[in-house]
Parts: sequence; structure tokens; C-alpha cells
Amino acid sequence: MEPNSQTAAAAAGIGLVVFAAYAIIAIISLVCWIKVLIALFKKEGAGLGILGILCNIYAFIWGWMKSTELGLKKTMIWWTLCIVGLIAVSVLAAAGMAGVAANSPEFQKEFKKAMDDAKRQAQEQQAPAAPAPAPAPAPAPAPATN
Amino acid sequence: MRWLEVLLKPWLARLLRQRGMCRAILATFLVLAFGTWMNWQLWPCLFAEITGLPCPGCGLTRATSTLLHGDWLTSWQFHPFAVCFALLGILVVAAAFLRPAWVEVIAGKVELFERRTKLPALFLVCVVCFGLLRMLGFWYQPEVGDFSGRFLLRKPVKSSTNNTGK
Repeated sequence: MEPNSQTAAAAAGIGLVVFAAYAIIAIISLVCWIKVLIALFKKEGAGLGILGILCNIYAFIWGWMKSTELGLKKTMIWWTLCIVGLIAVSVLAAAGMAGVAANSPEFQKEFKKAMDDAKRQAQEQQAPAAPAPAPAPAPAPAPATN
Repeated sequence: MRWLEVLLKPWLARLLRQRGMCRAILATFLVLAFGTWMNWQLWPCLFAEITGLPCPGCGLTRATSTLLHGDWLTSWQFHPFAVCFALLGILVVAAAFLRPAWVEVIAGKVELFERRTKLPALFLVCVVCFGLLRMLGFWYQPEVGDFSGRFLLRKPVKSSTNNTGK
């Protein structure tokens, strides 16, 4: 297998696993949110219920504050775990993709090129700071040959 | 018309009277603001993550940020209701830190205003309608972020000419 196709296969594999994990966690999270929203609409009325739709952080905070009173503790624990899971999956995905990219020869070539460019630019920026070289002396007149 | 009565019931005064809730909201937003400042997206918008469409509240943070920088036009494009949410934020801060007696006075006045004008309830209805219209493409749709695994399935962008935020 060519190195590039290996990289592509690894990236596709990571992508698929991340997508599946993310989708499952997001759907569980959505179910928890809907459960809290139903309780929010019943307890606080339509206004704060709509606020819970617009800003799911409000529904999350409200759910934790009323978790004991309304028996939402289990739902809230699941929701919190899902939020942590979503963050963890995205961090792992980013790290995995960075690892795959770092092992790709194309990336290494581009990285080396970028580093060389940066070095050249730094040298060019330093050059005007150095004292300007003295003008070259005028060439001595050539002796007459005849 | 019972559903209309339920829909137009005062909600803002009820929120302001919940001091613990206001403090918790404020603390959470401070943590999220720190995360945004550090370039971490700590709170995913579930609706946007699952559907790929902006929810009615998406773009509010960016709208408020541009509003604070004095860029009213961009703020309007991101979310036209950002000013109202900023006012709501000021009320929540006041309810979290002022003396309970003062909070009660403010909440009483807010409740009277709500009962007379029904504006806060209508505001929420308008935000939801705006969100639906934006989903249908009648308004600029802000980027919903590269937080999810969806970015792995997206097609690469070939040119940057269409990335002007309009």
C-alpha cells in the first residue's frame, strides 16, 4: 500500500469511528434535553420553556437545580456525561487527525517548506537592521594599452 | 384561546426572582466566555450538531461580541435580537448581585410591564420565528462550527472567495 493511501485509509477510519461515536452521544444528549424541556414546560410555563429551547444551557442548569425535586437526577447525569463525551471525542478526533497528518509524507514536505519559508522571511526581516554595506569602490581606470 | 394565555404568561419576572438560577447562569456563561477566549468550544449546540442548521439561538455570542466592539451591522447579520439578549443579560446580572429587596422591586416592575405589554413573551415567539426563517435561508446563516465529526465528511472548500461572512 502506498504511504498516501495508508494515510487516507487511516483518516477515513478515524473519521468513521469519530462520526459514529459523536452521533450516538449527540442523540442520547438530545433525548436528555427533550426530557428536561418537557419538565421545564410543565413546571415553569411556555416562556421559560422556549428559553430552554433557545439556550440549552438554561435547560441544563435548571435541570440540575430541580433534579432532586423532579426526579431528573439520572437524566442529568446522563446529559452531563454526554457533554463531557462530546468534548472528549472532538479532542481525540483532532489529536488523531493531527497524528495521521503528521505521519503523511505530503504533510512533512509541506511542513519543511513552511519552516524554510519562515526562516527565509526571518532572515529578510533581519537584513535591513544590519548596517548598510558601503558602496563598492569605483573601478580603477584601466591603464592605457597603447 | 387558552394556549395563547399560556404562551403569553410572564416569564422574565419569574426568572429574575430565582436568584440562585441567575447566579448559576452567570457563572456558566463566565466559564463559557473563558473557553471561547481560549478558543475552546465547551458547549456544543445539540440542534446545530445534529442537523447542521443553526438553532434560533446560534450566532448570539458572535452577535454580542461584535456589538460590544461597536460593529452594529455585523451584529445585526449574526443575530438581530442580540441587543434584547444583552438587556436580558443585564437584568440577570442585576438579579444575581443586587439586594433581594431591590431585586423584588425590579421583578415587580418587570412583571407589570410583562402583563401590560406582553412584549417579553412576544420577543421569544419572534426569536423562534426568526430561527425558523433563518433555517429556511431567509437570513444569513452563521457557521455552526467544526466541533462535531461532521467536519470529516464535509467537502473541502476550493476557494476562499465565498467566505466573507455574507
